[in-house]
Amino acid sequence: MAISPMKKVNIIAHRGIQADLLQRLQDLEALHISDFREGSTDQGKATSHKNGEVTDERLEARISNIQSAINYLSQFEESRGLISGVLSPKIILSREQFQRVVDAFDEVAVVQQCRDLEKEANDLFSEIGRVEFLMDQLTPWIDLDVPFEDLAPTEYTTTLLGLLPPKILPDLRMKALNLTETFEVVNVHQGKEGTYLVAIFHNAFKQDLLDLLKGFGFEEMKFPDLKGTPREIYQRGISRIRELRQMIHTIGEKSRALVHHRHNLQVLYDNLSSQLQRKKAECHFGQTSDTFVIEGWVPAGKWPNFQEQLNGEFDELALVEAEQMDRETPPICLDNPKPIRPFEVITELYGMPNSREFDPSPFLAPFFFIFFGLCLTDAAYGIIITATFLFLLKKYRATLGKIKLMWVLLFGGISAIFMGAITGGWFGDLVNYLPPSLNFLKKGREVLMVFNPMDQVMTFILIALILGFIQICFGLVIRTVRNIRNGDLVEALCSPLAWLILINSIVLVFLGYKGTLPPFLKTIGLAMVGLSSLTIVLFTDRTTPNRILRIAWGVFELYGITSYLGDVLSYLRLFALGLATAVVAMVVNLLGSMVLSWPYVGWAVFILLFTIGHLFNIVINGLGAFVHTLRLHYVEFFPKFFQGGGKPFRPFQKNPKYTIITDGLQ
Amino acid sequence: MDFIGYAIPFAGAAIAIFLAGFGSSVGISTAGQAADGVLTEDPDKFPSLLILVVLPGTQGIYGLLGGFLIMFKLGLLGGTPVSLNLVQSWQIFFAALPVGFASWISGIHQGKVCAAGVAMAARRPETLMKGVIYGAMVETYAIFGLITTILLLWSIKI
Repeated sequence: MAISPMKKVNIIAHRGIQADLLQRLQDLEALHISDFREGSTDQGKATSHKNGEVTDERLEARISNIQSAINYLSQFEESRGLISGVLSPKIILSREQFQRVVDAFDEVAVVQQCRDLEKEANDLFSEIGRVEFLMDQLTPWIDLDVPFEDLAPTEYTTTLLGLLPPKILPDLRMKALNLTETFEVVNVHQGKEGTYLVAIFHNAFKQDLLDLLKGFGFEEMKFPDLKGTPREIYQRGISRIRELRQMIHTIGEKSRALVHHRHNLQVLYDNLSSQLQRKKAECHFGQTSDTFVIEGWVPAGKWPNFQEQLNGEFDELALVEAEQMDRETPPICLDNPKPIRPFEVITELYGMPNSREFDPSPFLAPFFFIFFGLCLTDAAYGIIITATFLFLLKKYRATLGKIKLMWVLLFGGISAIFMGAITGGWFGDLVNYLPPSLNFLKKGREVLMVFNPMDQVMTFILIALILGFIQICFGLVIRTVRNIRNGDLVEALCSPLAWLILINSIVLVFLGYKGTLPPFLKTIGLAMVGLSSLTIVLFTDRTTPNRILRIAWGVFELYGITSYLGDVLSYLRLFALGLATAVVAMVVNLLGSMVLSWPYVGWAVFILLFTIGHLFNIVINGLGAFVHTLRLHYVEFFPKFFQGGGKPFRPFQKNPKYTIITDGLQ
Repeated sequence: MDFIGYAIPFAGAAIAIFLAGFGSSVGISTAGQAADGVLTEDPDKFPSLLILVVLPGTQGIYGLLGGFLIMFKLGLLGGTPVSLNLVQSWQIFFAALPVGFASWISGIHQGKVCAAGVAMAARRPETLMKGVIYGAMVETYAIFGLITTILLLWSIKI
């Protein structure tokens, strides 16, 4: 079956080989380590000597230092173009090259340099901030042609600089002159926020005048330690900032010279983080003074190779196949033939199946393929999507090839080609605009076309509904088979099978009434409807002793028929999305044909409009196709049979972030 | 009855397009603001959050679709303009309403669900697709509106 059977193993080994063994296990990527202390029966023989997470603070600090150096340097790297930038391709290198870097490269100096440069740059940036702030403050005073040192208080006078709220200067001046004649105000700058002024007065009236100014809402501004006129200081600020920017630029140059270390840092990062993972795995081991025990699960398919490799390489090691205990559930590893494997991602996104049920991936794969295509229904779009993903997967095989979603989208593109050909969608209705000399294309389209969704709306709707009905029935069939396989024949008969018969016989009756099918089938259908609904009412809830309650629950259960109706109707989205793609494409073509007649620029605008319009349509409707196909599976299909709750198989591995080692062992 | 012009069907097309566009723009703005908040912390999440942000955009397309289908029906886009009587004009008008209103309201609310999804995916990136699925559930009703509009339009005999 598509869920790989698991072997539970105990690896008992001498401490001396621990480091080598762990590294080997990481490379094999076949062992899911479970916690030895949990569920182990022979606690007496070996105990785990540590509690909780094992960490190595020095190692972690080193990793985080390297990470921050990598991050710092990444901003100085030359831009790699849009696609590469988003995909951030990994470094591909051989095991020897990897090891050579690990052995030869010492990161301490580079990390320290990066840190120093970063700090220096940050200091410079904050100084720029300070200077700019001062310059901002000085802007209103620019016209004050007096050096600040001349504004210091003298023996008899005080000079104040400050901001007065707007439009009250004459008032203030009058009030002040009433007090004393030794008061002078200079209006330096009239701003929106008020009047910037310099006030000079005799010290004898200082207190009175200060009170007066305060009463008018005067805010004093102080510029201590400044020398020269505001304009001079402002000019000095400008040149200082220029200087600072130059220094930052120099730091950038210095940092750029370090960028070539980045790959080495990344290799080292991956090496150390896999080391950390080995360290962390240790807390799950059982330990004695000289030996340690690893308990885990290996997929049966990988078991022979696993056994051979370990026994061949290590002497002081025993591999023991352990008994699976009743309450234990093995981790779930999906194992499907190659064409179906990408669709496992749909299952994984939803949650793993438990060990007593089927892997839904092979069941959903054909539906997903068809539905995605139906939502797009444009062969030309399909070709574009297929070509794009083929190109990406070819170019970035090492990185993207592992991402199952990429393959699903590639398959989706292929499906769209088929569905587009069937419904005659090639960039919507582009063929209608072609010159007569290209009439053979029109012919070709008609040969491939089975129906035209714009004219035969009902056909499209029926196709969507029938596909939905088939998928829902299929889900019920899966549940019936699972119940039978698990030995629960009664449940199979009373629940999924009864529902399967019920909804099919309702369709039979309906078609009988409409006259599509011979009328005697209607009678048979009615009988089956009665029988199956009776089964559902009487036997859905078989455990409740109270008979009335039991039947009440049964009736409630039967009411669930409405949800089946809703589920089938939900598949109409296939039709709506399919038509949406076609209509938007038609509109793009129509607009294109309109601009084509413009003088001179017609062609250019047409090409622009055509490209952007169709590209937009592909992206938006491709997203819609994926999301809604996914939804149909998660909301309509899976609940018919899927239980889930399995824990995923997570092999002990290196999980490199930046590198890919090409000559792996598998 | 005499041909009375296209004012009533035009009003229908306009309502379908602007209500749906309204719903979508509000929805995207809600989700987009939530995503912007996350991106200030973690700019690398941009591609994955983009899915949630553009999800409420489909309603606008459904409205546009409804509007254009009306124009096709009237023969304004690549065809000969048809002649309508008063009853037919109103039929087209009312046929436009389901997609307009369903898209309007569902777009706004889908935006809220997507914004919550953004917040969820920010904390636990592996839940992204679950957020998308919840968002898609809201969209169902816009799709039903669109389907109703299409069926109604097709059933009008001109």
